[in-house]
This record gives sequence, C-alpha cells and structure tokens, in this order.
Amino acid sequence: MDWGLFFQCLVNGLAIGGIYAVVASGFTLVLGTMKVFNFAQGEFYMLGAFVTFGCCEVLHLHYAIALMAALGTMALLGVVLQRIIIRYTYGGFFHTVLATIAFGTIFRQTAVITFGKTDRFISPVVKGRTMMGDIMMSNDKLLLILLGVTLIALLHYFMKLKVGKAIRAVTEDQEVAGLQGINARQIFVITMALGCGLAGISGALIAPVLGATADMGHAVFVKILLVIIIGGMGSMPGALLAAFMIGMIESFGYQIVGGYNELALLCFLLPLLFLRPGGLLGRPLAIPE
Amino acid sequence: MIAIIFPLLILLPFIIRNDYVLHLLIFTCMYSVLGMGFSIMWKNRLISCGQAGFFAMGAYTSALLVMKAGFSFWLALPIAGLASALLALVIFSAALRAGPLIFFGMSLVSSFIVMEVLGTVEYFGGWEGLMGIPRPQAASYVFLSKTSYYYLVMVLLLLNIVVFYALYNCRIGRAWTAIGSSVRLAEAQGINVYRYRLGASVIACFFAGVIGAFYAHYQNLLVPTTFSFLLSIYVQMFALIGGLSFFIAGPIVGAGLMVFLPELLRVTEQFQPIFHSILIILIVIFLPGGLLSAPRRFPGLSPMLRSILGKGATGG
Repeated sequence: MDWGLFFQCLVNGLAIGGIYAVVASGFTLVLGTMKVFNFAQGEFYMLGAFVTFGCCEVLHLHYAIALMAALGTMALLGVVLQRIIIRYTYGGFFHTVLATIAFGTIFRQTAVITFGKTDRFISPVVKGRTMMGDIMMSNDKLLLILLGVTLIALLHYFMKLKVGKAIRAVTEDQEVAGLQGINARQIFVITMALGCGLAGISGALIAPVLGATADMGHAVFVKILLVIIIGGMGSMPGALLAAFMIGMIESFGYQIVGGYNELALLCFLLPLLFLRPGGLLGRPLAIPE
Repeated sequence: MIAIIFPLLILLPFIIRNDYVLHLLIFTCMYSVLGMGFSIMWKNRLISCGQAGFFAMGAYTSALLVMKAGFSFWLALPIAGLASALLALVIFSAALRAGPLIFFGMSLVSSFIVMEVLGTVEYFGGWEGLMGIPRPQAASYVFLSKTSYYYLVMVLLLLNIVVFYALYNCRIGRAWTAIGSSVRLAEAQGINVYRYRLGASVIACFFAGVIGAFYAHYQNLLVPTTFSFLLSIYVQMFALIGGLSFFIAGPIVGAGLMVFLPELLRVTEQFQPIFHSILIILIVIFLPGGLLSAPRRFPGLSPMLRSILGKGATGG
C-alpha cells in the first residue's frame, strides 16, 4: 500500500469514524443518563438525512439552515418520544427498549413506503475537489470531517457547562443529584433532545456524501452497537475511541480484504470482547430492575 | 382445559382445510418456540436480542449437513440444536461474566455476526440464499403437505413445552425464579447465578436451533437477511404481548396474535410493521404485563375471562 492510498484511507476512516462518533455520543449520553437503550437512534439519523434532503433539494435552502433544521426537528422528536412514551415505561428497561424499537420502526417503515429503497442524492455543498500531493478528496468529505470534529469539541465543551455538569451528576446518581437541587426530569428531556439531535445532525452531515436511504438508519445502528460494546456502555471517551477505531478498520479493511470488510471488523471485535468484556473504557452498568 | 385443547390441536388440519391458515399456524408454532426460549432467559432477567442468530445457526447446520454430508433429517435435527447450543455456550460464557447489559449487546452482535458470515461466505449460499433443501423423509413417506409439517412442528412445540414445564417445576426452575426476583438474594442462598444463567441461555438456544432446522426443511430455502435482528426483536415482542410473567403461555398467545391479527384485519404487508409497532407501544404503556395479565389488572373482566379460559390460563 503506497502513501497516497494510505492517506486516502485515513481520510475516509476519519470521515466515517466522525459520523459514528457523533451518533454514538448521543446514544451513549442517553444510555448513561437515562439508562434507556434508544433503538430509535438509527432512525433519527435517517430522518436527519431526509430532512436535509427536503431542505436542500425540495425547498432549495442553504445547507447551514438544513443542518439546523435537522438538529431541531430531531431534538423535538426525541422530546416527543421521551414525553409520550418513555416517561410512561419507567421502571422496565425491557419495555423501554421495545417502545423505542416500535417508535423507530414506525418512521423507518413510513420512509420505506414514501421514498422506496432508492437513494436520494443531494447536490454537493462545496463543489470541487482538493488535491493534496497525489491524493484527491471531495470537499464535502473534508467539510464532513471538519464539522464532525467541531461537533465533538462542542459537545465536550457543553458537558463542562452548568447543564452538562448537571447531566453528569444525574448519570452518577439520580437521587444525590436531586438532593443538590437538580431536576432529573428536566435533565432527561434535555438529554433526550441532545442525544436525538446529535443523531439528526450527523444524518445531515452524511447526506451530501452518501445520500439518504430508508435503510441507512438500520445500517448505522448496528455500528453504534459495536461502538458502544467496544467502547464500554455509557462511556463518552470510550465511544469516541471506539468510533474512530471502527471507522479506520472499515476504511482500511475495505482496501485490504474487499467484500469481507464487515467480517474482518467482527473478527477483530470477538477476541477483544473475550479479553475485555466490559469494553475498552467502560465500567459495568447495571440494568435497573 | 388440556382435554379440550389437545384433541382440538390434532383435529385442527381437518377442520381448517386451508393451506394458508395452516402455514400461519406452523409459523405461530415456530415463533412460540423462539419466544419461549426468550422467556426462559427473561426468567433469569436476561434480555436476549439474538434469538434469530441461533435460529439461523440451527437452520444452516441442518441444511448443510443434509445437503453436503448426506445426513438424514432426523439426525441433523438434534445436531443443529447442539450446534446452536455450543455457539451459545462459547459466546455467553464470556458475555455473562460482564453482566446482563453486555449480555444484551453481545447477543445482538452475535446474531449480526452469524448473519454476516452466512451472507459473505460463498459456501453457505451467499446473500441470494441456500436453495433446494430436501424435504424430511420418514421411511418412504416424504413430508409434502402442510398438514404433515403441522404435525411435525406440533410435536416439536409440545416437546419444548414439556421440557420447559418440567424444568420450571424442579430445583433448577426454582433457582431461576430466585435469580429473577433478586440476584443478590439468590447469591446469598448459595445459587451459582452465572452457571444457572448460562444453563438457561444454552437450553433456549438449543431449542432455537432445533426449530431452525425445522424451518430450513419447511421453507426449502434460506436467505440470510430473514435472520436479521428484526426477527430477534419480533421474538421479544411475542413474549411481551402475551405477558412476560407467563413463561409458556405468554409467547404462544403473543405469537398467535402477532401472526393472525394483521391477517384478520387485512393489513397489507407494507403496513404490518407499523401496525405491530403501534400495538407494542399501546401494550407497553397500558398493559405492561401483557395480554394474559389483563384479568389481574381489570378484575371486572376476570370472571368472564376465567370462565372462557379455565383455570390453566392463570398459571405459567
């Protein structure tokens, strides 16, 4: 493998890993704070991509507005899910799992019925390509990496703010956080909005590069699970590490083993799980009874 | 109760005489077996999200043994179950050490691995599927009609029910109940929680494998994408809709309802997932104990229901 190809793979890996990192951060935030396994996360990502498609191609709005629209609508939908369904299934981890699956399936199937199985493409946001030595990258991919990294940095800054601290306190111990005057129910709404909004905006980020399909939510959700399991349940740094790791393995694996790409990823995962069943940076998270 | 149901089950193909309804009944039986496998793990407060993977493992093992190695179906059936059980033993012995949440994630990932392996490796038929799986034969009798398959799956289902019933009512079952009510308390009683949980998941996956072998020879065609994690989720839904605290009757009622209700209401195939989802959300919010818990939740209904269902419906 020559250096040109190597850097090409590196950039692809960063792009894929960045997307996984953003979606998985939202997922792990909700999992850690609310102890809710949000199976609808993948569908929020898919809907985010379709919102972007609608804004850019149907309404002909600017991409920045589309990004905000995807973030806003998905955050709103997350709050709806929390207020209408999850709130009433507290106490049953398993019930919440099935409720989020059902909620996601409704949107997924609606998307399949309305858009079919064909891809919807969005015209490039930043036209043209950038040459770096002998490697060539589309500007959209670079934009994706840039925005992805910015988002992750923003999220970490957010977790240092007062709200972020409150979220972390609730993650640690809900009752003790309550004694400090933190309203856990309010925090749950904020967490859900943030988690689902992150899924929506990452769908909006990927839309100019890969387009939007009804099936994309399902595909990304499997990867989120891998990220969560490798990184450790409910651990944000673990999720970031694992997301970029999986992105790299996917991108380099595609060059080296071709169609056996996914298989290579799983072959890597299995021994890791036997060595560290709790994930790389995770600590055991108990299912609330 | 049993005296009414048992002859009814045997006579059912002669009463219905409709191949499509029989086909749905066969699927109900298969789903019931998978659902009961889920609920035996749920009894230990383990949430399995990978029953589809073990189902697929059994299906492919049996199909390949019969097609490539020339085994008879009757020998391949238990071997398929053992293969699934072995896979479960390997995966879950590692996953259970890390706790129930990792078990949940690992079961999901393992079913994904199984599907991916079956799809990418050409020997297993690839993504287009494995075609031309021979039908089971007993001496010179070949299983062709839906009726014969119905009896075969009914035997498997009854075998499953008998084994699970026996397990639930012996020392092992009581240990499982103890683990289900409180892990710490069970540990304090000297129950090896890890070992009992592992045992439960291996037994569940054995039966998932056996019924997978039946599925392979019933459909004569295996496509990897049918074993996606959506099937595992359907299995969970059967158990939930019937009632999570009814370990044997729950999955059967749930599977029957999920298979027959959309057909009765003439919901087209495209809208079926939406229909199922709405049903699940309603059940989760309004009747978290499942349909069989309705008599307990709405006491006004119960005299009527009890007279219809008899005493057997309250156990489980």
